[in-house]
Amino acid sequence: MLETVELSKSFKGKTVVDNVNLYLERGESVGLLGPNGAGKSTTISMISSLLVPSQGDVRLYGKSIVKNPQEIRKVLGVVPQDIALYEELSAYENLVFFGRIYRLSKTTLEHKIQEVLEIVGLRDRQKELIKTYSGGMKRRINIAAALLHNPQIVIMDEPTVGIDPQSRNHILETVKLLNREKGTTVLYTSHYMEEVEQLCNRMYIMDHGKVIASGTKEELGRILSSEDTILLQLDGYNEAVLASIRAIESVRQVEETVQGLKLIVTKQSRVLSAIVQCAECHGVQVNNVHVQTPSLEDVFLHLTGRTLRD
Amino acid sequence: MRAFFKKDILVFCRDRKQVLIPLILPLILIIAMGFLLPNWMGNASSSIQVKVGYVVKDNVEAGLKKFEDSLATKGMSKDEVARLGMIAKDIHPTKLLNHVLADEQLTEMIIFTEMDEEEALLKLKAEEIHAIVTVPEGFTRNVVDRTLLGEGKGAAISLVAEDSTKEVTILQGMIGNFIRQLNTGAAILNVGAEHVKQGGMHGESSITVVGGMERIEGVDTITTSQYFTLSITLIFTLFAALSIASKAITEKREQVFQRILLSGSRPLSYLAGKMSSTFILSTVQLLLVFTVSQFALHVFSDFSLQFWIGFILLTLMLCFFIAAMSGLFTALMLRINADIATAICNACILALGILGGNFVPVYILPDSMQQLWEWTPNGLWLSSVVQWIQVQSWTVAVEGILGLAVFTFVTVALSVWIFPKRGRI
Repeated sequence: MLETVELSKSFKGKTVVDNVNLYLERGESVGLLGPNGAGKSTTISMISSLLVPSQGDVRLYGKSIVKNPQEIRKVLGVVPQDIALYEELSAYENLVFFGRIYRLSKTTLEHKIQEVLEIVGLRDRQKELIKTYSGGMKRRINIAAALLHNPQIVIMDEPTVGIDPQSRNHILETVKLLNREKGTTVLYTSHYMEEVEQLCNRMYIMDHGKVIASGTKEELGRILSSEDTILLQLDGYNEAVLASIRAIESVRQVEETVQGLKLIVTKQSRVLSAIVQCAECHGVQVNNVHVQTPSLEDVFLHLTGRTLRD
Repeated sequence: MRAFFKKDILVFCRDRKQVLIPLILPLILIIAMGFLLPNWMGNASSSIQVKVGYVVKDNVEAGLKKFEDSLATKGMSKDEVARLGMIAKDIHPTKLLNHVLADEQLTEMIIFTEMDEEEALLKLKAEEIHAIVTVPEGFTRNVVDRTLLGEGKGAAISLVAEDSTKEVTILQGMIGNFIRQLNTGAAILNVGAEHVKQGGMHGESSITVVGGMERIEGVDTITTSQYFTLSITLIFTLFAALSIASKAITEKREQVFQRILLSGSRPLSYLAGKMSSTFILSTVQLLLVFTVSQFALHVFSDFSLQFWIGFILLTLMLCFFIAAMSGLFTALMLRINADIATAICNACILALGILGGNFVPVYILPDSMQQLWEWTPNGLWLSSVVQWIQVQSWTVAVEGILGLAVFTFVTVALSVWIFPKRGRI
């Protein structure tokens, strides 16, 4: 349905998107993962025809939309990362404005407004000004505004940033509803791995402007099939301890997290005793050890050397 | 475009601060200036002062004597000669002119100094005076001949000036008006004289004294209160246009503009929406402040319907220009860095305000700056309205409207040209 072919974008000689190839099949829900500055938003801007690519092409049903952006604009709904609404207007007035610029007739518009407000669960508060809404409610109206013209494809650019858990759940449910019940194709960008795992069939991982991995959750998980993740909680540690652990042969990576040290080690390498011994050598007590199968977060860490939230 | 227009109006009106500042601040400033500057309100002359050399070549006594002698040669009776001689003394046109020139309000604006012709010419060359008013030889004789006997061509007062300035135009209008009054009186007396001949009513002098500038038809002066009402309100409207345009920064930053582009709407519809809403809002703002100034402060009292029609037409054209400015500001804010764009727009308004005489009356600025006045759109409007108040000539109004139309057209073209093309926002 939609594909990018060697899509690149440079600003003042700096390449921010580099030869990105991705595709979306009709009715799919695809995740686009990457830390801040990975090039996700620029890629989305090119797909949605807001930015002209420096190189490459975006094709809708095989036809290039770079020279004919009207084609994609008819079928595309974009939920921007920012709250793209007028704070001084009510939710209803905002939706009326956005519906009118999509040239919806008065009756269709009224019907669609009530429908999308129902989807995002804010029908009873439609007359209130946006500036009086909570962050989560604003984000829900932000989504509603993108759905007014019945888009076949919805691109959501980090729609759950900085909101309360209740609104976040509501948004995730909305995405599921759109994709699974209404058959809308969804391209969902986020740096919350668990959201993408929960919502998407396939995903692309971007870093430094490039797609560094893609596939289903299982396919990506297989990247680390030869590795295990160990979560190690120590009673205090210093650089010397870390250096000693890193020096152990089977330890591939050591990452400091809030839960403790996250170690990616060669599978079945019987490295645990060496790690414990190393800690004891430095007089550090091991409080807890947890061995787990690698998650997508671990895949990302493995591929980029940094976490999604870096 | 209607959706954009409606949205912009709603967004602007919801911001009470934005609505109230351009409406209330000009009024506060106008009132404050009234207290700060004594005789400011309703003082009709403080903005203009012109020095005039007054040359009188006429000998009144000799003129009247010659008139009486000429009556005797016409074979009139002694009584008839005596009666017409009395009327001629009553008419005394030079005395009437002196009376006009000595009017208290007029002397605040025009300083007449009596001098001989040679001295006057020298002073005019040296730019010590702005003009020379000459009462020619035989003026009294010619006036009474024409008035009482219907003979001769009457008399003319000459006005000589180096430059055709606004002040000279005013003076010319005043003298013209005096002559018209004199001619009107002559016509009435001629009718009276016919009645006398037919044994009807007595022909007494009915020429009323012409005094006070308000009564001079066709020529008025701009008061400082009027000037500041116009200039202050205009500058606030320009700033209001900037604040409407500034919404584009928020729309760009928060990706509302991108969402608008994604709807397939033509970017120029967005620009047109900004312009049309600015047009409506600036029209309402200007007319509201002028109306309040008129009814609460009596700034524009005693003006005719024609004045208001011309004034409203000029103001509407100004609003078209302000709308175009808002479009230009919007385009600039979408095209370049928002902070730089805001700084450029503010600097632009301040420069226009200074050159266009919005902060201080243009008359007190150096000559070089005064010459730029009409080359700024706001200065052109102000100058046109000032002249419209003074002479109410449709030529002035049409020239002002056309000039503003050119400024508007150029500004709109510039806005469209600057407005970022697809993929450059």
